[in-house]
Amino acid sequence: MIRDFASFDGAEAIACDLCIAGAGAAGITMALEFAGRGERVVLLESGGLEFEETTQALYAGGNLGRPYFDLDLARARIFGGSTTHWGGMCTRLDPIDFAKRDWVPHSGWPITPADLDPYYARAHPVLELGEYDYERAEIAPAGTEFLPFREDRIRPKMWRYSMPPTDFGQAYRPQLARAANVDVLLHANLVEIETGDDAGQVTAFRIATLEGKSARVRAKSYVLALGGIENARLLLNSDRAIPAGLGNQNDLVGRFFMEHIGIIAATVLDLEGNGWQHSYDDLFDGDRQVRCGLTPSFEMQEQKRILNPMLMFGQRTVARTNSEGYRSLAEIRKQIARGELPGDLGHHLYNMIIDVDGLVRGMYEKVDSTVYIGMEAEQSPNPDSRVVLGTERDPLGLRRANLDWRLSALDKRSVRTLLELTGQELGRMGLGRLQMEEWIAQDDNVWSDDIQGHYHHMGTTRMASDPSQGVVDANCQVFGTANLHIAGSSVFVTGGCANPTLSLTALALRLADRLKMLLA
Amino acid sequence: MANYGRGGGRKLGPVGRRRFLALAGATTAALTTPPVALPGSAAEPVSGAGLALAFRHQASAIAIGRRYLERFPNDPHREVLGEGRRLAAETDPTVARSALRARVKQDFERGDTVTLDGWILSRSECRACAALALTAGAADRGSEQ
Repeated sequence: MIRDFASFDGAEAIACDLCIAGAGAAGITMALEFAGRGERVVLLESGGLEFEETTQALYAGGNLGRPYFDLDLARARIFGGSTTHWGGMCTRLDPIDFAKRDWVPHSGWPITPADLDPYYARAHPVLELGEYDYERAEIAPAGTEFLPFREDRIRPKMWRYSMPPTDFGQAYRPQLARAANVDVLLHANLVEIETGDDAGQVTAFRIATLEGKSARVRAKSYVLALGGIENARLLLNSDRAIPAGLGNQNDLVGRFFMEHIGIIAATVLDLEGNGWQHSYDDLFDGDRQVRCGLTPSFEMQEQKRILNPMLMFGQRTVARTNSEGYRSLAEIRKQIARGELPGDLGHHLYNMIIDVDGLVRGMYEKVDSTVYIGMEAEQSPNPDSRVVLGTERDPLGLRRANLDWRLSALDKRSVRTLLELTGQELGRMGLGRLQMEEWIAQDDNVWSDDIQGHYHHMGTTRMASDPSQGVVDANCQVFGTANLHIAGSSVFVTGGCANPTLSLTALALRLADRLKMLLA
Repeated sequence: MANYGRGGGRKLGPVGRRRFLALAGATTAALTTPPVALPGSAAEPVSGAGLALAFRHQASAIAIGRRYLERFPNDPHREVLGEGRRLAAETDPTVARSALRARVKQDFERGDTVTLDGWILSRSECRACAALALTAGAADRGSEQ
């Protein structure tokens, strides 16, 4: 059932078998796994069923490092979490992402691709992704002609889209509402993880509303599924037993923050003009949408000692997407093509006049045949790239997060090398010449302020086989705290170039299996 | 991912897009460059006219060549001139261009490329442009005397 904690007429202590904090992709996936079973589950959500500004503002934090999105805009604090605002792009991590790469410090997961593979398959229906298949020949529409890149240098990698992107808050609300053994508590903010003096066991999740109502949830097992920044923030704020923060006895909580590096990195001067790049656009086949990106082959990654960045070919659509003037022009044209005039013609003409700059830019984009290269590049694990607590407190009394996102020379060299390899292949095929941004061509660790993340927050409670190297073990249990587990991309050791939602959903399913066994 | 960029135009390097398009595609224009002995070369001159025939648009090639010489001043002149001589030896521009294209393809296959103002270019195409730039420079100096 789904209830609002603000109007909850229950006791000050809520008892259950499993308490999950955070109703996003990971938390809802786990709750669904328990729905209809014998265990009693409480799923806590800070937000409600609709967007609320005051709740969303709880995410606000500072920025100590390179330019980044405002933290209160980087995730959605609402039932369904950030699946209420995602693009639906999914793919698996590559085998090399799990490996210990001697040229990538702090790489190497304590689990293998085979450990996760069955859960990837199970995550597919959860994300409404269709069959679990990423073979290009199988899933690309028939007749798609991909370029003959030498695959010992450039490896094509496929993405599938959750189409339309599964909004967990919408898709799974009825199922959770029907589940008699699952209590979803809205407006229930986790404000402290309480433990015994030795921090060996969690004794309660203390929860509160913004209006001051509070309670304790006592469970046998607890899961943090709050997101890549908030998981670390809650651990660091829960500092009664361990002054540095729960799970932070080795000063690792919050470190290794990783993103996928987003940048328009290059353009291609197309010498052929035969539309080869369209095979790398979004491809549609019935209700299936896929896209092909390019990564360095595993051999090249090893030989050149680089990471696993990814690039995609595309066109600029910024003005066409964002310009009111251009959108109005497009609407008028559409209506005229139907033999009609728009009813609000005056409004559209007004838009075109006041946004003439955007209109012109949009028209240029429409005829611009330039092939742009966008990247979603792996960032190497870096202990200095981190989430720390600031001194400012939010209305619930928790210290806010400060993000210090840092990139390395290895990250940049990897981006550059993939562009070089791609440029060489395009040249070899006589298709064109690639021009990368000049700053990328420089062999240093200087980055343009134009780079962005992809809203993928990873690594701040990383998985390891040894507590000196990570925050959780291979089963996602916090080292030193037996009944506390973490779900979500904060446990990622490396991020590869895969959008994290599929992997974090798979890991949540794996953790659910583990907890079913522990709670039996 | 399809929506690349957040406004603002890309800055092109000194060897810009239009320049490169011209190198790659436009019509042949004969350049009446006299044979010259190039700086740092052996006594044997390179035929500027023959070399120029290899390019559809000499001005663009010269611009790229000058940029290459500026950016890679330590590339031995003999390598640059060797590329120029190979091209200059051909009197048929179609054959010259075809020969250059083959070497360019081979460079890309081998990964023998240079990054010039962000462009990933074959070393041979850069050297050929550099040789043309040198002949043009020598011709300019000759006409000033």
